[in-house]
Amino acid sequence: MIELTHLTKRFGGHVAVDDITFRCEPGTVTGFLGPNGAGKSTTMRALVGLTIPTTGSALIDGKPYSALGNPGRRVGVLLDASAQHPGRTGRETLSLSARILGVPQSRVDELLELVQLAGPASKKRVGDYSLGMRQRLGIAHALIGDPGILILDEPANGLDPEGIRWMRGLLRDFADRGGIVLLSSHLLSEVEAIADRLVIVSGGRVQLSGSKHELLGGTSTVVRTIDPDGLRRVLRQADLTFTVASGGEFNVAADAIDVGRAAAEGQVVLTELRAGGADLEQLFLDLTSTHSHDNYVGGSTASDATHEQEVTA
Amino acid sequence: MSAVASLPTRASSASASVPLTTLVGVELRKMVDTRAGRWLLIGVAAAVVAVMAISMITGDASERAFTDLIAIAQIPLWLLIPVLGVLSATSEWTQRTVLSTFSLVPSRGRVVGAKVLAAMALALAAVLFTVVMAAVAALIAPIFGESTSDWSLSAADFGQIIVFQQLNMLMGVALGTLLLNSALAIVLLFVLPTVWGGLTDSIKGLQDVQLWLDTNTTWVGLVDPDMVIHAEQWAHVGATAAMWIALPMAIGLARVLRREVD
Repeated sequence: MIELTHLTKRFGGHVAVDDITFRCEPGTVTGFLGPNGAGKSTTMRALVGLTIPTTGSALIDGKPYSALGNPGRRVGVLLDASAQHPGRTGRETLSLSARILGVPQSRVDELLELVQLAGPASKKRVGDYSLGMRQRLGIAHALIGDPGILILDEPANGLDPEGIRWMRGLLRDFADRGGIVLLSSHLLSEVEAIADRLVIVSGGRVQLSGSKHELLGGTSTVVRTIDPDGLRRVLRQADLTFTVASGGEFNVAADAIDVGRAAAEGQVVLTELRAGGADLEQLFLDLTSTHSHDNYVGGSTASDATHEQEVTA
Repeated sequence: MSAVASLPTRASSASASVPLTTLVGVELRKMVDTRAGRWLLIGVAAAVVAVMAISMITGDASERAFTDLIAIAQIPLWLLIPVLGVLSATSEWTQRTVLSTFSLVPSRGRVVGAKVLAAMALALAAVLFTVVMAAVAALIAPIFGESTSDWSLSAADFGQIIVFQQLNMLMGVALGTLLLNSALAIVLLFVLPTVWGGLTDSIKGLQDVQLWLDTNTTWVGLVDPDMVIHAEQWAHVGATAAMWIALPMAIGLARVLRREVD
């Protein structure tokens, strides 16, 4: 379990992280979103003991990171894939950490294989690696101690589409087996595809947090038809509320299945039927374009229909 | 990239902290596992071999004796060992590998301690290397001309050589830890003692200070065959070590423990 409680970090007069509170539970992938300079990296560095919080706490399994004994066996960390010695080979980089972690050297080969850096690539110096290779080495480095928690800062950075897809599968599988993943990113579509929960920060503050379903899933359905009058009639009959945009697009406050069933019963031909949840990009821009927003905290209650309208309005 | 199943998730977080011996081993390995690190050590070894060769070819009989060869071999070490010390302390900061080092070992004091011990082990290995090279040179000395077959090396002399080079190494580590910047630390390593020596040398009132706090006076005395080292001299050696090793190391350690890592 990762638990941040009122975490605040000041550098001189500048508040980098301002009263951040959230937690990551086993079995979940938490996407940590925010524009550059929002405090994501500082928060993650505080979590792994690289920066000391001004106030508040950042705990892992109820303890500060530094009290974990051999923390790499519990937490895999990737904060900056470029922060490796360029003169060391990829294999040697992993090998040094394997020694510190007390895991067998065979683990190095397994990981090199896993991230497709086995063979000649493992003997190349990290300075000769592409950004994508360095990122994959960083992911291998985070996994080498066989941890139950992953803390990854921009892990998709520099990966090609195939690599991003691979990482998505890896992290999903990791969480599905009870692991905890906290990853930051500015690639919104990636986070949307991987994460179960979202924490959006801006100006050092949490602007919104909650499950992806709460924040984006919504219960609205977008539907188009060749018979607008007929659709209006069946929707009213089914007691569904809706709005019609000028382009003829219906936005119905119901699940797609209810809308589809109503249309089928009324024999109205549909040309389009899809979930019309909030758009993450729009949500992100709305929340982060200004810091004057109040804190929207979705939390665990699902009473957010009104809040969602506020946010996406 | 499909062997994900080979990564079982660990449920327990109970694990002992990393043994210091492991950390020292890793630090030693870091000194030799990069191309730059290997060439630096090869360079030091080559410098020792070079001064051996020069004394063989140009020296007189006394310079081809075992004990004198050992003393001569200390000169390149005396110049280069502190550089190794500086780099062992600074390179992780310049290469930003502290990020992963401190993520794996959050106890920064133990990391610094491991670096100090690794540097001391390297200094000891370097002295032993000079002894072996001096022995080889003394063996083949007759080829180059007249030589004495004096193989005496007292335990006291040998001990003083080791202490001398350890002090040089530790001064490098201390300045490196203080400044966390390779270039600056190496420049100051050579400039500071020279300026300090010049200052204390030229100002009459500071001559006592020089006797106590000048590395070129107190530490170099340890390997001067004409110097006899008694308790008073050891006190001078210790006082100099306090100023050039303990003080920068203490400030540097405090700095490392508090410093933001990014």
